Amino acid sequence: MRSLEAQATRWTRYLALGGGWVLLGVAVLTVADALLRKFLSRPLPGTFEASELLLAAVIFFAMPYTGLTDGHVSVDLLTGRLSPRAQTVIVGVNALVCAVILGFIAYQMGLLAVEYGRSARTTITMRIPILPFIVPVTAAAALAALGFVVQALAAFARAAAR
Amino acid sequence: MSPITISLLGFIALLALILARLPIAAAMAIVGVGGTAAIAGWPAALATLRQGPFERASSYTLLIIPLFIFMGYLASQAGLSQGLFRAAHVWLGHRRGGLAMATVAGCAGFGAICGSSVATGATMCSVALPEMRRYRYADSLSTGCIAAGGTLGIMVPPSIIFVLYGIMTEQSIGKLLMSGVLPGLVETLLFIVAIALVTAWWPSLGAPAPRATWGEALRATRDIWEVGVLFAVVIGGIYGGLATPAESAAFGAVGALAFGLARRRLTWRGLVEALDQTVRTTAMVFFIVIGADLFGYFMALSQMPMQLAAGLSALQVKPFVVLWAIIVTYIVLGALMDELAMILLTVPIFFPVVTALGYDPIWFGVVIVVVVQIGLIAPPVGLNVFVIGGIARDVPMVTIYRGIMPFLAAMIVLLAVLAAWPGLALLLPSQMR
Repeated sequence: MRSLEAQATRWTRYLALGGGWVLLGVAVLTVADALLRKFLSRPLPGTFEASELLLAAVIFFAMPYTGLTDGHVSVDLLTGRLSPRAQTVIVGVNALVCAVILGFIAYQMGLLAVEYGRSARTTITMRIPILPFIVPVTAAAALAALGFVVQALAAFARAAAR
Repeated sequence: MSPITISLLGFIALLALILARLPIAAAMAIVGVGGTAAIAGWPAALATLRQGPFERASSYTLLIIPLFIFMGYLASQAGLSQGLFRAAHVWLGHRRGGLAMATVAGCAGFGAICGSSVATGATMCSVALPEMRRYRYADSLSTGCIAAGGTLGIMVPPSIIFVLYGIMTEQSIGKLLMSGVLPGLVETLLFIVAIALVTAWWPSLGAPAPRATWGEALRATRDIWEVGVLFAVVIGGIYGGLATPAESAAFGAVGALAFGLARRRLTWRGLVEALDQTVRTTAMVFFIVIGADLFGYFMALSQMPMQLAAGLSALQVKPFVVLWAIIVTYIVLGALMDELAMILLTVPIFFPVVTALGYDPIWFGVVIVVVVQIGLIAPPVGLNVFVIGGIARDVPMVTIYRGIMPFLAAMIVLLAVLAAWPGLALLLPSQMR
């Protein structure tokens, strides 16, 4: 189970870093757009709307990796006093709860994606189709839910082995 | 059950889930969706999950957050923090407690290119702590000044807290960022005064280092020109109205990358590391933002914030009594929970109260940042103290907490100064175009 968690962390890191490169791309695009607008009065069309859609990818692509590496903020004011085994069980239960929430978010986002697909929804100004962006974002949210399941199973396995 | 009762039960449930170590973002999301369902039914609650997260994650105003985070990590990987500390070292190091003063000044400088207190604290810790150890500084002073100095990262612009506050309260992010400049400078001075007083009383805490020559001092100062350029581009762009905050942040991130590559200090590994840390922090922040959105929707539906504001406004007490009660509540909350979550959770509740009492929203933003700074170092849950403790593993937490006390006092003095003279926060924003 531990190796599954390690493998999952490794692969989701690649996805997260992919999002990181996208962020770098957005930064360069934004700078280029601002400079071209200022000096040549010729901004790059669609920068604003593309940045918005890409930002969602940056965020959700990093969700599975952040969950698997305990990147989310929690408070161990009380639980820190429990036995290591009890703490591991709590980590597992909490990971399952997170999996349920992200599962719900992914499912609802999936319904939204279906709706956008049916209505061929686009951004307002540049008419960029939203579907190609929301589908990977939804998949990343689902992957984050799965990541939490893996984390929970690994925690339970650790607790049982103690 | 009335919506107000449901909202109070929601708060109790939220606290219980947070104390059970559930990630704060998840706790807010569960209570938010559950509370909305209790008031308006499940279809309405599920609808918040459908639209909310994607819309929030694809909002242009929030692009500024990952870009500022990226800029900070790139600057750290590019070694800009070392130059800052060296420059402060040559001017202040020969004084009693001088290296601690240099650390604080270095933190303020790094805060000018980094929007996060944890990143500022952690970055300066790796640079300043070994140097202070070399001169046998007391662990309490050396770790305390880094933990407290790190919090300058969110007061001196750029600052993630100001950005989030601006988005939640629909205030100008540019004005909010500028409002942190003067209080940030005054706070840095207050920290330096605190160090001077402490080391005057207990000289063994921080012995003076040898005085640098004029040549060394000038060289070290010249070496930090990149930081000056980055700050001028980012903050100057916002102040002068030349660029939107998101564009300025993009210039900052690309600029930090360019300087790192030009100096040959930013390696491939360093860049990947900066990307790794940036996206992890971004996902953490946005999960909390999404959770807070869901919780905020529930709060708005319950009408609790509005009723609280109306009730407090009707009380026959002076506005500053209510304000200080809110500040004390923040300090207590900040000592117990994560600051980001605290802001996102409480600002929708307290902001209507504060504005109804006639206080300036920008000024209140600065007050919020100071109380967040206090929360970041105050026991028992001081995030910055934990981070520094994680790096300086041989120093007990109690020692770090002892070390932050003079800085805590300085922060309270700053709050009093802000209360007495709001112009400290409002002067620069009022001059903006």
